Amino acid sequence: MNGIASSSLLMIRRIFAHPMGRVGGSIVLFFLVVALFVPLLAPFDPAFQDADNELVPPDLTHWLGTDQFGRDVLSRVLYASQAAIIVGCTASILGGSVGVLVGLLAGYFQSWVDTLAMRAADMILAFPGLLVALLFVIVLGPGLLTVSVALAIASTPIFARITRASVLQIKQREYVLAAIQFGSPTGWIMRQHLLRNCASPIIVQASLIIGISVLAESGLSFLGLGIQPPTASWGLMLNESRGFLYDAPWLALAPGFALSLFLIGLVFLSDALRDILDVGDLVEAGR
Amino acid sequence: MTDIIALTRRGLSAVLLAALCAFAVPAAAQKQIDELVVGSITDVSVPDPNIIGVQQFIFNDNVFDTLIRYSDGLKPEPALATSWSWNAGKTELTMKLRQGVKFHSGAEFTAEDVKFTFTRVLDPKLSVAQARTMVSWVTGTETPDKHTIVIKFDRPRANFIDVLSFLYIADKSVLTTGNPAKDVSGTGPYRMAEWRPGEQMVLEKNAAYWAPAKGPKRIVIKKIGDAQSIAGQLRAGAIKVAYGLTERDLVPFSKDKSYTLVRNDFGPEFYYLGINVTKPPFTDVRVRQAFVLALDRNRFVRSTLQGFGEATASPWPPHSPLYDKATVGANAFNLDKARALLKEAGVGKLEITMLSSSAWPPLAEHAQQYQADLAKIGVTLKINMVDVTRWIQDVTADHTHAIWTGAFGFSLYSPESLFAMAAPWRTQNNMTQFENAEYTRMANEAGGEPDDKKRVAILGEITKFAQNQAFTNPIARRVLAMVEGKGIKGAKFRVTGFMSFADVVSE
Amino acid sequence: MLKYSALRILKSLPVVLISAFVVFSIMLLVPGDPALMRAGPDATPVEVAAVRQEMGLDRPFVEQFGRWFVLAVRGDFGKSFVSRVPVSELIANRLPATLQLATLAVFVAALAGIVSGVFAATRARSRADWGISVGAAVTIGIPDFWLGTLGILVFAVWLGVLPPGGNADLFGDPLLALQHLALPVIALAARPAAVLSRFTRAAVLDVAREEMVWTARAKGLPEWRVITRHIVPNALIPILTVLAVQFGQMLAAAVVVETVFAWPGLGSLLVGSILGRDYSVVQAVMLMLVVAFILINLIADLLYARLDPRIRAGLGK
Repeated sequence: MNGIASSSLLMIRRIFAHPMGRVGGSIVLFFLVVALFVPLLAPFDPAFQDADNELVPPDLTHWLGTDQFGRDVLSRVLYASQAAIIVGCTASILGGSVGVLVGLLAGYFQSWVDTLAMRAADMILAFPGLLVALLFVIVLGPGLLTVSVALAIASTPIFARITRASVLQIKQREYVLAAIQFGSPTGWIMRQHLLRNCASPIIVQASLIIGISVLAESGLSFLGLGIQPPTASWGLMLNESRGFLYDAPWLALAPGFALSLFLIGLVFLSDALRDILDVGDLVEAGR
Repeated sequence: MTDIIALTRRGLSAVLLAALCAFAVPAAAQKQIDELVVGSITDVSVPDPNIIGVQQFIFNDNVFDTLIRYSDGLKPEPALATSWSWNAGKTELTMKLRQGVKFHSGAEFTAEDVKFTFTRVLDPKLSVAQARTMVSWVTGTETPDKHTIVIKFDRPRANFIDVLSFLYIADKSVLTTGNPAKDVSGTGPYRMAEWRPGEQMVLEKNAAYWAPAKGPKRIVIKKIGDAQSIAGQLRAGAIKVAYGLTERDLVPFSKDKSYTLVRNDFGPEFYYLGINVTKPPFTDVRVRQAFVLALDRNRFVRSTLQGFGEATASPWPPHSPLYDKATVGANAFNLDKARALLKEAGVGKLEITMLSSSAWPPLAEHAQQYQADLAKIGVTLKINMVDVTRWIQDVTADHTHAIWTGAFGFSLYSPESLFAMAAPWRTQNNMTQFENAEYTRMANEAGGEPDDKKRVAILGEITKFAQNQAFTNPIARRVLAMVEGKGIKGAKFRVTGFMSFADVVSE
Repeated sequence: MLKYSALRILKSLPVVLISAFVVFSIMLLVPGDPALMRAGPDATPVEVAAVRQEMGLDRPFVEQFGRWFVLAVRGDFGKSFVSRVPVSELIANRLPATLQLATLAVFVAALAGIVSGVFAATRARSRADWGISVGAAVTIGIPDFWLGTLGILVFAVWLGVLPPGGNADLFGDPLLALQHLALPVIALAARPAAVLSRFTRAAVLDVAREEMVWTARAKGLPEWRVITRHIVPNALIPILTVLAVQFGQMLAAAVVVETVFAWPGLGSLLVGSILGRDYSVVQAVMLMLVVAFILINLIADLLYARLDPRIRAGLGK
């Protein structure tokens, strides 16, 4: 445990030493802090409707104005960071765990396990991620949970593929071959040699997946097929703002700005991670 | 003297000039339009004369005709029927049909087409259940000649005339075998030239129309699935008539003198809160009443509908003989009373999922307002916004939701028609599963009561009874509205909600 | 290479078949009954059953799929549950709008991405390079639908110079059509352009390190000729590969962007049909998008294989 803690600390130090990492890391850290402490930070209850103060332009009481229900936009923008982080983390942790496990087994045992897993991965990757999520939402109905799970499923095959590719490479190394030769337990080899050595591309991929998932969530919510009211979500807020572009543009500006800032932070962060961990080849941009 | 003559002459010419202007201006102004582009939020689901629904409003009346039309004073006026008369017992209606009318297919319009339309509506494959209920009262028809039809009923059915105001007559020669989406033929002022579903529809003027019509030579109805874009295109002049704007978008247009707001205030659409009375805790009428008292109707109308409607707890529109301020204002917003009723019923913390549909955009806003108000009386409301199919399936068949919001119509005609046609008001198969001997008895009594005053009295009792029972709870009457762009006038709503562009001219 | 291509193409056929099955079956797992939509809110169960039978929804699942797929291959997707018009007709009506949008967006993305990428690479580590890199990273972070909304806000609402949505006939009134296209194309192209710019920069720098470039320089060719004659052509194949992948992503992005601009294309048809439970249309559009996506990825893979001999060799094992 101590080892993990100190290596994470080292990682964070290296991120903040990297120029892009410093910017991206700060932005992401900012949103993490906001999501954790939002009850203390938000000036109003995000669901509180002040019927006498609907569509108030930004002023001293409501820094970012109020929406058509008289809710404080700033508070909602801040609270929405929770939904984004939940979706992003679920997709990358859940999708990552399953994907890494599948990739590890497929790469290690190869044979039919490999074939089956990779065909399944091909199948899911045959659909653009957003469409996979869309299909799930159509069947299971919209909501924070469905969207998170749908995006986790959409991201699983990418993790599986990357892990498998790394495992195939590492497996050929002498110390692994030796360990296999000497009959070391399979589980131990996987943990000790394989998993450790393919951590870098997985970490980079995970940071990319967070961004992709947050983007997909906001896209689905924007279509009205994602997170449902009164939960605050940037995409949903943008969706609800569409009828008010003429009268209340702040409704579209505030959540869009927050969403973009968070996503830009994630892009910078994953760029920095890619640099630091030196995994240019394995994690392909845009896929 | 000469001066006087000169003066008179001058005066005379001034008068003449003024008179000329008075005649000349409208003559010069009312020009026929070559092509009218209409922007609409919905496309028709299918260009079928006998499909009725909000999405058909923009279409049917321009291509098809009804036998009668209601005037703005709700008097039946001749359309394809030129005259009609009831027998003394109101069980037999004899209608004289217009002669020399031709369908777009070239076939002559006769009593056979009316008969065909009745049979067609009774076919369960067609989705016109509302019209079907009333047409099923018809026990037989006789056609003594090509242009006369005698319609017979099971019992006195004076309000049958209501259904004739929205029953568009189908072309028997075409629809007996044809595809309603392709073989579109009516007697209306326009024929359908092209339909690209979900995109646009082109209508061309029917030169052989039976009534004088100075409307556009072509009408293009464009589906623009987004209210914001409709408003933008109207401003840019790309469309000349806009239908489907949100109420908030209507406000700036209603204030701008260069646009004309065309309204239908008759109440073809009422929003309501439905409560399934068989689902605990709503089996307790006090819980139902508490939920009704938590409806902030005024806020909804003021804010979401921007005043384009009326906050009302009554199903009756202002022109109805049953409209009165007491029932309109009944069960007004009162959270304290609601809280007390819940306590009295022994209901503590409650979590309820409410169903509504994206088909009614204002109700999406309403749901969130209601959610916030219910939270104040300890009720956690979850909102399930679904498409209209899911909504229909749930409220009519699955009954998984205890409460929902939706819309009903049919209260703008003879009041007793409401209890025959609208699913949340019916005495049997009611969506709310409300069944009550007293309610059924009163509704039947009203249906069979020939005396107008007595009937209205009974219906008034029913209204109050229903308000107390709190199964179907009106929230607001919505005003239908469209906006005419610069230099255009003559678009109108029929009482029923259907739109007519047959008299649109440029100014 | 030929063997690889043939195998790769063969391998994508079952993927198409299974995708079709997934698309088809998921639609039937959906709760809700399309027959009810046609039957209307006041219909009785008997009436609904009649409608269901008419629509063929009462037949066994496999039979429904078999019939659907065989017909779909021939381009017949049945009729819309809602409008009762052939789905192929609906798609044919909407396809041109999406094609206009996507082609123009790909073109813009390719032009902006490649030019800025090459430019950044030739001035590597300069201020301009830094600016382009940061600009690209920022652009990747901005969601297309917000960029679109911003565009509407600035150019339609505030300045009033561009329409807020909808389209116009490209051949009837090209100027008006381009005005309508401007914002959606930019919204759709921005992100792929940024991805491409970054990739181009990297690819060009890679090639620039190769020997032949040094040789060319040593021969005394002017720098711009080295770039246009030697570097860019060699970097082009990996760039095209990425462009193809981005094009595939664009198909999915178009679903959202078309909704922002009320653009009457396949994307808004899909969203509208999802909300309206028009199953036959959802199935057809989904299948079309997936097949297009598979096809584009196939082309990308073949291009990539053409470039990288290791893949071809690896296959022989």
